[in-house]
Amino acid sequence: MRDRLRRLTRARAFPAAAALCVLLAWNALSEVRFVGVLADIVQRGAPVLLLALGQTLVLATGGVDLSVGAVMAISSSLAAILLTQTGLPAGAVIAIAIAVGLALGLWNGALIAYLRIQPIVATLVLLTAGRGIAQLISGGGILTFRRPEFGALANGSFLGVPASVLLVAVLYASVGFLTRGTTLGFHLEAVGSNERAARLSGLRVGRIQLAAFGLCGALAALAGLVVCADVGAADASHVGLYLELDAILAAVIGGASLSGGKMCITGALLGALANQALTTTLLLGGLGTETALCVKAAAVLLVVVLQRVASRTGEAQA
Amino acid sequence: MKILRRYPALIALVLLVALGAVLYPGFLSARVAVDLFSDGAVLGIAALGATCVLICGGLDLSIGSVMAGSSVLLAVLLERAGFGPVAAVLSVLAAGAACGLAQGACIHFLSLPPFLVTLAGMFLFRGIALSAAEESIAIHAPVWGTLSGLEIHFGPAVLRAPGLLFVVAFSMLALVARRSALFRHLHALGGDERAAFLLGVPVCRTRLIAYALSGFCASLSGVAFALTASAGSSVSGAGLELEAIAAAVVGGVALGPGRGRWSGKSRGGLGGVLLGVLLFGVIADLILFQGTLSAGWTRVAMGAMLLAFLALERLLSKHSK
Repeated sequence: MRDRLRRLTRARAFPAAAALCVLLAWNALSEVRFVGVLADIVQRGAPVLLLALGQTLVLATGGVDLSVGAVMAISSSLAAILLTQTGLPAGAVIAIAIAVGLALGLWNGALIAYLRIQPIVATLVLLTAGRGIAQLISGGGILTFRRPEFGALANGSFLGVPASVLLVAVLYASVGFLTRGTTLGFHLEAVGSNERAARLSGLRVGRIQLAAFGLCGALAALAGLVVCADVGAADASHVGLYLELDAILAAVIGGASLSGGKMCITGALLGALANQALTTTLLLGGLGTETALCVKAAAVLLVVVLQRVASRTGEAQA
Repeated sequence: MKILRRYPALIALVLLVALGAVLYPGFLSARVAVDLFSDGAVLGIAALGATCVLICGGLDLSIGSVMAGSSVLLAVLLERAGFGPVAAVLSVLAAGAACGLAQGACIHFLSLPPFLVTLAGMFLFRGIALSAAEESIAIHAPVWGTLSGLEIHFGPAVLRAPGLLFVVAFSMLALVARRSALFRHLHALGGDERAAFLLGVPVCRTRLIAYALSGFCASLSGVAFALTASAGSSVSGAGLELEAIAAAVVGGVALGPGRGRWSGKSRGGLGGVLLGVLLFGVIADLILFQGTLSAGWTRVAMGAMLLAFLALERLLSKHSK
């Protein structure tokens, strides 16, 4: 029993799962409309859930993508301008925006894989320029539109399940399959834990990095679309602001290592949900956004310190 | 030739100024040149602190939040607590340095990644600033008006108070770099922490000083903001940390740990950062003079510049191998 307990607490996704359980239990006890809270967490959390998924892949290769917020801004501005200025059907707009996100991700990947620029710096380029590009696309203002078939991306439902929940579930399942059902996940972790060894053992490191960043860009674009479908407007200077940080935090709480080589899709899911549960709990508790920021920062520090202590005691025992 | 190799930003600066001089009459004037310092003061002072941290192989993402928090604290102290300007500025600077020191201590003693700790700091300090005052607080104190009215005239050109602060901060830090071992230690730490430790570099003290300096500079840049705007604002300085890092990179500061190479001087210095800040200022001026381009272009141009310098650094380092 003790052994099993110990193994459980050492599991990569344990901190995120524990945090989520505690937060949910707190809400279940203090809130009357608990189901509403649950639905709210999943639905509001959709953008961060998508970003955390992409960020996990990138972190596994030893990189980090700081540009996801900027990519969100670009994709939502692009979608808004296409919806208002052209008669394209919603499906085509979504496809174009995701393709652009993919291209931006590949651009990041190419800088890292072929120009050998450090990931933090390479994605900093797009972070600096991206919001500017989004402002150029949208013309600076806030674009509003009324297109129910596009809004369905966030607010629609299928068999009673909200569309955004369905979207998140499908993507997590398919990326989970891609990484654990095929060798992609193994390759990503190989590149992240020792790039030189991976190269010497015949992996095409460049292509693997491209794949990780490309997927991350596409998922970020999708997250941007969900946000702008939800509110029916695109604001180039505020969509996705600071969300890159939420995504990284979610992935790290979920057991991804910042130095690469480790990833856990379930952990990312739980981490992003815990992140959103914390936000929702704080807001329901009547604390303002500003206090929520402080509490989140403290929580994050607590989690990394705990992880550090746990890994140290683990090493001492081994 | 050597100076061009070390500061490719200088070539870009000269080319851009030449472009401006050809295209727009009045671009090449003392007034525009001196205004670069006044307008670039907030970014410039923050970039000085960012450089210290970057040179020692770290990263500080909390600069923008500390800057905003400092401007709010300054306004609160002056307006509501009745502090005199000297006492207020000193307490603000001490608070900023303490913020940096606390983060440095977390990074050093708990061996956490700097990226993560300062990310948490970014949330924390922004949150504190926002809960102190959601709207900007105007500073009405007459002494502050006198202070922000300070200026030095060079013929038609006027160096305004924030610019004065920037020049003083830069000179002080350059003096420290020249006279003390601090920057040598920072370079050694950034090149290879273990080797630096074995060589007798006080690793702990150096790292703590670097982060404290970064916090100090960030709050000084908050003071510069308060001089410019005569207000403290908790929403100011969003993205300032990234602009500061970008300016440092354009100025030739290497990012990240040296991966065991003794990179010494090649990690960049303060002069390069000054060039980086001026370069961004010239880009903003060019877009301003052009008149029809929107503000979005400034960020795009900054990103393009950053990319060009990264690629150039790659090429140069390949060439020298």
